[in-house]
Amino acid sequence: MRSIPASRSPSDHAGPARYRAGPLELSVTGVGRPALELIDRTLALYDVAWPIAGPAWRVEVSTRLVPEAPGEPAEGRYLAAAQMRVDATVDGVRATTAVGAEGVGRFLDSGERWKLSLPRAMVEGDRWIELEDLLSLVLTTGWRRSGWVPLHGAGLLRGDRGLIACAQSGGGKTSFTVAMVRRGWRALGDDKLLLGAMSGTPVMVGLAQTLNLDPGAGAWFPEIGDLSAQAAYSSFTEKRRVSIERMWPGRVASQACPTDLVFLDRPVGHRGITIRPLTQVESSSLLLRQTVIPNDRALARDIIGCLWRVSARCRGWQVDVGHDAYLAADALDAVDAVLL
Amino acid sequence: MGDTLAMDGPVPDGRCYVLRPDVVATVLDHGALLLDLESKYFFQLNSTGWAVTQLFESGTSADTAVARSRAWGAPSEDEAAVRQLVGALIDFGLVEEVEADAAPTGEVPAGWQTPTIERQPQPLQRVIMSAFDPSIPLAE
Repeated sequence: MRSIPASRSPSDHAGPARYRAGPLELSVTGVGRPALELIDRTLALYDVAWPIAGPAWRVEVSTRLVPEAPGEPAEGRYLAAAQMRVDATVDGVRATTAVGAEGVGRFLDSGERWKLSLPRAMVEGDRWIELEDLLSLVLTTGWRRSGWVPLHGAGLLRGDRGLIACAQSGGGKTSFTVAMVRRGWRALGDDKLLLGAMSGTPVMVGLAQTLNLDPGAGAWFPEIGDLSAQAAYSSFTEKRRVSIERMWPGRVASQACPTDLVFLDRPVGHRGITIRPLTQVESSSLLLRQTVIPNDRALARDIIGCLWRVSARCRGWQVDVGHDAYLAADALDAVDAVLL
Repeated sequence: MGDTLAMDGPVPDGRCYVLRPDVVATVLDHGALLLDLESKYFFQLNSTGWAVTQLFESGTSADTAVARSRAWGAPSEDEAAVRQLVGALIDFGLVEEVEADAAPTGEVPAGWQTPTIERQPQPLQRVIMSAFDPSIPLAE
């Protein structure tokens, strides 16, 4: 298996800035600071050297500042997100955001070509979250079209066990990942995975080897220390970005074959950490809710098929985590005993 | 864990129906999963439920579905189950009416069992956090 080094070379004004994000090779041209700095910060997150052989999927992104919103708002027929609506077009997709930024993506045989138009209102209103939304669309579109399913979940590996841990946003994926890493598991990431298949066998690949930690996590995991002095990594969260390798050397992994699905919950009043098995129908139903399924028949069929195959070969588990459960050193003994 | 078809619901008449274009079918080892891209509900079908449902890809009636099921080896007591499956497809809004019966022959299921369809209790979110995160936005 060939390893492609992750690359990141921001623009030096002589040419496009280039990035890798999983199987994608992105080139970005256009507007200057602060938009390019945000793009650089966002795309630099994807620091995993892509471990799968094959040609890169090429994504060209050109950006420009415009005085006003360039056209009618999209209706959201393809995708409806909090700050963004996306419609399918004849040869790709078109997205608009709440303040009128526009992303037009044209689908090519081995990549996409995007034009992002950023209105003055977005810049002056400091609405950079909407550029992050457009970048998220650029990335997820490329990942899906190159044959991978983006999954909102954490990935862990120990021996021949590959674990996907899922929860709602803020539901404890990162804390669980840290707690498992401290017990000897290796992490593929805490909330972004790609799922696919190699020679018919499901595989999950990490995208970012950093954790998005709440500054309060140091109370449970003392080696993290005080994160409050660091800057939050995004405009919509208080979390701080921490390198897994720097904090826990040797505890990162880039890919694994999934064997177990863990669905995390934090029931009110629950004490300690408990684990119970799920039926395949239950775990499939939960896994299908960890990805975005656009209103596109072919894409939807591919995504559902991939996730169902993964869930069909995995054991499913419900893990309920009580308040401050990680304070106890043996809190995850029962989980490890079941999983290993 | 989901809604199964109503056993005492109305039995569909001789009208013809076809699966709506925004209903996506993913064939599994032992049946199929339908996703209604409009309502965002998932439906799980066993292998015979999927065989019967497939007849509606080109448009047909409950009477034709019953006739095909008999030809596939369905016992007479399962006629009601086939009609109820068709009724569920109508009630769940997965099919729409068409003029003509395409009289499809369909694919013979590996072995006959009473057809079932189950709707997952919760639909997918219509509005999500972002293109990556399927969580419901806090403002929704």
